[in-house]
Amino acid sequence: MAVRNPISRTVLWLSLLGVGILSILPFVWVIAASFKDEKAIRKDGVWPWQSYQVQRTAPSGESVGVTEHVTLSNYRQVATKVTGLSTYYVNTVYLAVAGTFLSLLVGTLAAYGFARFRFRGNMLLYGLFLFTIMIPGEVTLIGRFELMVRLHLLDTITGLLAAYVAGNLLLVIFIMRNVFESIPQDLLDAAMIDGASSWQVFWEVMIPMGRNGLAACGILTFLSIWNEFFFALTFTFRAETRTLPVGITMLRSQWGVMDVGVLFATVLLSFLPIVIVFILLQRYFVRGLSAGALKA
Amino acid sequence: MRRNPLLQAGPDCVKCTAMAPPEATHLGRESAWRRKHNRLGYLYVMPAVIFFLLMTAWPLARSFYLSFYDYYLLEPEHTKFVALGNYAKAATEDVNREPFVNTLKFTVMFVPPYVLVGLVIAVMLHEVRRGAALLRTMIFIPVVVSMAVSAVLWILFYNSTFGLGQKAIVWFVGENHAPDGGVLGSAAWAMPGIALMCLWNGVAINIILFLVGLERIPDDMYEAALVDGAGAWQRFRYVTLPQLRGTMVLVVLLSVIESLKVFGQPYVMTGGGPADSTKTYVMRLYELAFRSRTFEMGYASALAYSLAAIIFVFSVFVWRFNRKAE
Amino acid sequence: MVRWTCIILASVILALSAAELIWHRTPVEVFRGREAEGAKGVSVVRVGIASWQAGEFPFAEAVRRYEEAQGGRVKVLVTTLPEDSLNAMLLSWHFGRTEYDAVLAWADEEIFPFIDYNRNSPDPAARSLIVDVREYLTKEELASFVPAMFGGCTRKDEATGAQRSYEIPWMGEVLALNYSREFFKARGVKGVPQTWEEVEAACEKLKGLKDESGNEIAPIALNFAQRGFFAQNCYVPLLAAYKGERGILDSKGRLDVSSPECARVFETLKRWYDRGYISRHAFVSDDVEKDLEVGVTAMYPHWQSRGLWAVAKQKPGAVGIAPTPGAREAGSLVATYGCIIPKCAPNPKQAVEVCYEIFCTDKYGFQSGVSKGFPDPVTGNISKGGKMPVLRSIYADPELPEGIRALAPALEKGYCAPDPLNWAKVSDIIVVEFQRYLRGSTPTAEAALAKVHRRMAAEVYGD
Repeated sequence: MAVRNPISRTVLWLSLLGVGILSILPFVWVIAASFKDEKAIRKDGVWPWQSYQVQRTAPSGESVGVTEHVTLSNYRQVATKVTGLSTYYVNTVYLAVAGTFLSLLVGTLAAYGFARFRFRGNMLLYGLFLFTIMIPGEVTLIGRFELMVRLHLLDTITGLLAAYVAGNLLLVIFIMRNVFESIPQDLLDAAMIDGASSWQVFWEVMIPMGRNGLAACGILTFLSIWNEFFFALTFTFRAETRTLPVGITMLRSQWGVMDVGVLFATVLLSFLPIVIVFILLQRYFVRGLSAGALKA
Repeated sequence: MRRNPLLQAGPDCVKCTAMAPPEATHLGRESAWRRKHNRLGYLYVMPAVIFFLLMTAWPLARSFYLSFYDYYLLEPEHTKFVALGNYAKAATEDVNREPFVNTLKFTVMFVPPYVLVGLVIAVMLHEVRRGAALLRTMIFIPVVVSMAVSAVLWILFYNSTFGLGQKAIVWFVGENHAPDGGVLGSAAWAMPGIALMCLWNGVAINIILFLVGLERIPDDMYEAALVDGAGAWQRFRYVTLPQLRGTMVLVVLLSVIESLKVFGQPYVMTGGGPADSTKTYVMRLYELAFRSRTFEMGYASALAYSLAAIIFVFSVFVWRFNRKAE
Repeated sequence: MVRWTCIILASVILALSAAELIWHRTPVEVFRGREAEGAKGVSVVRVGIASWQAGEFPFAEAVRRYEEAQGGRVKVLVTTLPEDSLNAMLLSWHFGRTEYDAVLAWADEEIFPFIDYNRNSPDPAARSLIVDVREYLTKEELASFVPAMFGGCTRKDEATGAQRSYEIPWMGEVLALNYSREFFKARGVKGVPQTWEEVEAACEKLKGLKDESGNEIAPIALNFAQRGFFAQNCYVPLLAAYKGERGILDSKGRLDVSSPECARVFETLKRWYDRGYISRHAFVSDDVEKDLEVGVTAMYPHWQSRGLWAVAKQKPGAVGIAPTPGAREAGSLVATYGCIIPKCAPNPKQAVEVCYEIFCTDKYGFQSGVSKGFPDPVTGNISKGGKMPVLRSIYADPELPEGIRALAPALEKGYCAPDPLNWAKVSDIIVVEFQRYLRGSTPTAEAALAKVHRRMAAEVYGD
């Protein structure tokens, strides 16, 4: 139902462009500021056209005032002084990929079981799962923390992974069960007569048929693990086990009071990769999110 | 799909059904087959059930149990049964009142713009055809940036000297009304400032939900409205809004739940300050359970279950209300 | 195809998880330690430091010299603790596991949970998770310290009357009035203010000053942020100066919030705020901390090290450091960083010895690094330093930075933050109620302090 009037169409387009610019403005601002010396930023010179003075040591040994517009020194400092950023990245990517994969695998298997097998206790178990979706994660947190302490899983990536899989599992089961229920029974029966075992049916009929649902679940799970903060904050302590969201907030205090220029560069580095991935895969992201949203 | 007879040939399907497993014909044998077959289901759900029992059900039960005890993780020898004492304490203790009120304030500040901005932008995006991909990309970008990174970004954005956000506020409300020491340093501005950041970070989710809802409205309803001579506003009022009703309820419900649980944003951005004006309910819970030196988990569990109860009651209320209205 | 990929991926994840769990239960240090020990009979001391300390003090150099002097019989492994790991440490020491023989990371109010952790036992020795260092240090060693440095970690044993100290101090901070000589000169403020009234007068003179590029200069920077340094930098020094000899404690040994002087502190600070003396960054801790360094404020009462950092960033001689007003009579607030040794460490005696030798004395150049700075490994320029050394003998060194020498007398009358265990909570209550008073939601200073008093009783002390 597109608007037909060209003037109102232009107005609409421009105002949406305005919204778009507003939403990327903070990013642009961070990019600009990350090329500035701390003193310049603190004296309100964030944009590249503003110049500033720095004290430099001349070859003769005395310090001289130099006028500059931009500098790479923040990035140099990130490379040499900021420890842990790469570890945080590796951890977060591993958790997001492995967590998504495991929740999808375990979740789809269970969804298949619930959707296609009328075993005793099916509805009871499924009902229990459904009910638990409604309980906020904050409630499980305390019990899980204690469990982690007892199993010596506290402060390990594995422990966090287990918590994430358990946390996202139920939603995957819920969505995928609906998807599998909607696959016509005839299709399965036919495959069965052909001598396919239920295991083969799962891989050769259910998975291909549920492709869209799986993609949606995958994106939802991936994003939720990628952004997760509370569990990562409480379950990990060492720098080696930190994830990006927790790590970035801790970096802020790495040297008592952090150099704000370096902080800008660090923030930039921590959002740039995912934003680029998003821009490249934008179409799939939105489609997956909307499909997921529909079902949830 | 190597062996999918349904896809092979149409007429053969008749044969397929005829050959179908001994369903209607031999009831007795069928049920035996079925029963054996159905038992396989346990195998499929087992991994999930194990995960669920260990990582979800047990912790839930454990913290429910603990909520009736005076329990400190580091001093287990001191555990004492207090029945509903923790719940009573949670409801009456003065220290809890402010975090609770702050959370409600946040909800009131955050949910209406979160829903309305989402709706408006979704309706606008729905109308646009040319260049839609570009606009969507730009508007959706913030949603992939994790909450904590955005929070750190917005701390800088609100800085009182060089922050662009601060400058925008000064420009909007004038030098005299703007917070002097930066948005996050002012008790009156900190919470709205955090809400604004959350809006920027998360509104794309609502836009997407509304877009899905809009896609599902059949075009002929609009055409019928056009034939009736309805203007743009009337079409929106009498076609779009009623059709979006289900989506709207869902969005409001999710937004309210999300804002009742708000923790990370104020934790990162202000640490609860200034003057405790941004300390939220979950932050109080977190401090009790993980930042007190004895890990006061019994009381914290009671707080957590109270929150769950509030959310549950609210969801049921919205659901009932919605059904009645329909 | 898909099936096999999934199975392979799942096995990879399982294998990685198993590997991590095994790794987690046998820390690398244990492997390394055993290897070294088994080979040559070398004993290993594992030392944990905070991440911000790593570049701030000459750990690598001092440890290398020490190991050389010992002829390779002792190996000291210095590793960085993760940020915010205090509670994790508490948890693992509670269960009798430790990856460190000594930890240097924390200031004294942070180590108090370790000292006073088991509330079920009345016996202080049984209460703590860390050892009493007095049992391990010799009399001479104990006497070599500046006494004020022990203030923050010493408690009297109620049963025996003996003093117990739970840390070996290795670095100190003294509250000082850091100020800009340049801005003082620009507005004709002569000499360093000796009383808070003189500070106020100086503020009046400095008001409206601008630097060469037109940035406004705040007369004084004070930290009014929650979780900032309000109680430490603003409340305590003013109160101490107003109360003089009587000290900052009340009759119960808690921070005084009920004397008439307390209200005077609140009123003074509000007056300064209302008159616009105070930096507009006052409410955001990270920002106000940088004011003096960047050169947008004239005075900043804080630790001497903040002043010395600013000295390093500004033109030579631009920043001066003096004792806070009234410190001559009332003494100055002191904070120390100390080595703590967990009871579950295998050899506390050796850990104490090593810590004292390397980190407290100047035999291996560590204390010089703490106070005077040390050569940067990359550029070779002398940098960092600016902290107070802990041994008396070091103060005789004429090459100490000017600020440290100026503060040495204030250190003699140093006192610590009262009741360090609850200090964080108490200062949080004070700053919150002060902010409310400043905003006008509490009408008078007396009412605000009455509220502080009530909340302290209810939330902190439970009486």
